[in-house]
Amino acid sequence: MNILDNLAMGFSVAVTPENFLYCLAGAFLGTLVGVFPGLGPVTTIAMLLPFTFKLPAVASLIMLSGIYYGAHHSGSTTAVMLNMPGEPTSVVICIDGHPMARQGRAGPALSIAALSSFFAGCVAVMIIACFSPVLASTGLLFGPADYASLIVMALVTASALSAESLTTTTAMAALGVLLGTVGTDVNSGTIRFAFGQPALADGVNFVAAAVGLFAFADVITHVGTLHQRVPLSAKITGLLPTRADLAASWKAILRGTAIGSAFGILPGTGPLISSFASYVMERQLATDRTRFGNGAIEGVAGPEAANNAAALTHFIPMLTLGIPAGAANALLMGALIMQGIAPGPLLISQHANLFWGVVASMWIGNLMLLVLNLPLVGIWVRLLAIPYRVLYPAVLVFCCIGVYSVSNATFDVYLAAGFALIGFVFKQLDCSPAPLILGLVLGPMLEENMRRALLLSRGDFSIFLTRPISLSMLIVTVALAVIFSRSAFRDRQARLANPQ
Amino acid sequence: MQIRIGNPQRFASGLIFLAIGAFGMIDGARYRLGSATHMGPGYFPFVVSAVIALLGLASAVTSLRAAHPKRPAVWHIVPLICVLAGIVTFGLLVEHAGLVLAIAAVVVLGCYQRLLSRPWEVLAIGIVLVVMSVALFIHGLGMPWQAFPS
Repeated sequence: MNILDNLAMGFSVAVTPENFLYCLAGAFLGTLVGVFPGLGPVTTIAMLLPFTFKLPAVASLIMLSGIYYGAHHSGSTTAVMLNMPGEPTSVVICIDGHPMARQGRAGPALSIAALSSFFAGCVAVMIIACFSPVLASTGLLFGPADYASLIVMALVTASALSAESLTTTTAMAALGVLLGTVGTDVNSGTIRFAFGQPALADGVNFVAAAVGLFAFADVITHVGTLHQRVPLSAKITGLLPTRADLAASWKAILRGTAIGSAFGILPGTGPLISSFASYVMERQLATDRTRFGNGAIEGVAGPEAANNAAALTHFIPMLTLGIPAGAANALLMGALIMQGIAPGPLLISQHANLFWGVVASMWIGNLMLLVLNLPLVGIWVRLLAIPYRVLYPAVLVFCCIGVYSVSNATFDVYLAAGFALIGFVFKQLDCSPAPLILGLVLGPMLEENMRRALLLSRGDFSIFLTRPISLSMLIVTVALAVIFSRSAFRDRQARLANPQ
Repeated sequence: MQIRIGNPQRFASGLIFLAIGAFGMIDGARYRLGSATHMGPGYFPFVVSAVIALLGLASAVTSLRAAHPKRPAVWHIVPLICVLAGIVTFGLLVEHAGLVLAIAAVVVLGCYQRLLSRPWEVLAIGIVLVVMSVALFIHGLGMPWQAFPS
């Protein structure tokens, strides 16, 4: 079957009334929750995750993907209007988007963001359709040693590309891996680190960890700083971009899409780097660099395209290799695993319906985002006026209900409270919880592949260095760690985040 | 001479990692280690714990000479305790006392700082959330939960 046949099959799955409705509901809910200040994509997904488990696998992943890109996109609305990034990825949108809003050009900024996001989404869906089967067949060549090295690479690079010190982020990822060993060891049946809790024999409940680390810990941090409210400083007057705006943006959109797609395919790059790379590129290419930071529309168009292209193409390594990029992606993968579907090279052939249905639904979902965002932008902006103190009790209640509903177990609620405490303490100490959730999802795979690799090599650790694929993964890991731990990239990122 | 720690936050997190790693190695010693060829249940956790401990140690040592963090941590303990208490109370109440009381507990504890200054606002938020949740989850999705104490 060629790609067009497959896509046609995917569309036949995605346009069944039920799946279409879940796609719409996902995109709508993601936009709705993601637009609230203080609720970034990861928090949004963690909060809505439990409510998708009762659905069949295809519908559940379609809805979750909708939530995922909906929340990714609506974060830029918050960034433009309030200068408040929900996630590091929308920091870049603040730099030029918010000055545009202050100059009374919030409408063009938001519509250019929606258009570039839609364009990048269309390209990304085609790239997923073309490249996933290729990457999956490459994945079949991977032995256990290669997989173990790939997972190590994903964990270390995702840590290296975040803004904090390399040792702390890698330690967070390793802590996630350790938490992943809690529960019954599949090979010996020994129950590890359960502390006499029968509920822990099945391992750490992934939803409880995600909700605790992201949603609950976020609420605790924000409640303490409630008085620092950001006033809505801009109004939307005209919505449509001018001809000059479009002329200035289209190249940036093309370049942003290319950058985002290129980074998205690489496993473990995380979502942060592509929007930064696109912004830096637009500024380097501009004839008049002083416009940047003062409302240059290319500074919105390029990074927004890169952001959405990367967010979607991250599905390629996640679905075909089982390597998620970043925390939001890891949450989707954790949800898939809980549904009993193991992402990996065999997913496309074994669950063709699921794969192509989700790919087709992404295109439909991105079209819906455009529809939701252009005419309804006024409604979303009005939602921004809802104060956080009204919002967060709802977040708390829905998260409690969500965690409890997964298996009607109160233990999960207590576990989430424990993770909230962990997430809060680490956040206070400048340790982002994102690598931890990545480690938690990838930990069991890392252990299994390491075990198999060493069994094959009769305990000889050099197998990780003699297999060419494994060796190159490890070399890339070390190189990236060295480059990013000391290079100007970190400084530049810090400067961009605090332009003053 | 007074010892100055360059980055106290990273120093603290380094010590926490060191402690977790050490705990993992000591507590994990209860599980059979095995050999590299035939890894026992304790092998992988031991290696990972050792990595965590080493990274924590490295992090703590380098933090001594690191630059000061831009913003020192401000510990808001009251919201931490109240929100955590709200979540735990939800867990304690939801099975036997029902969803309504459990939600009320989350809202009351979560909105601790304006119970007295804005009681009507808290009441309104609570009523809206209770009605929405009971309608959506018990009647709409048919979850097998009780709304009121039986």
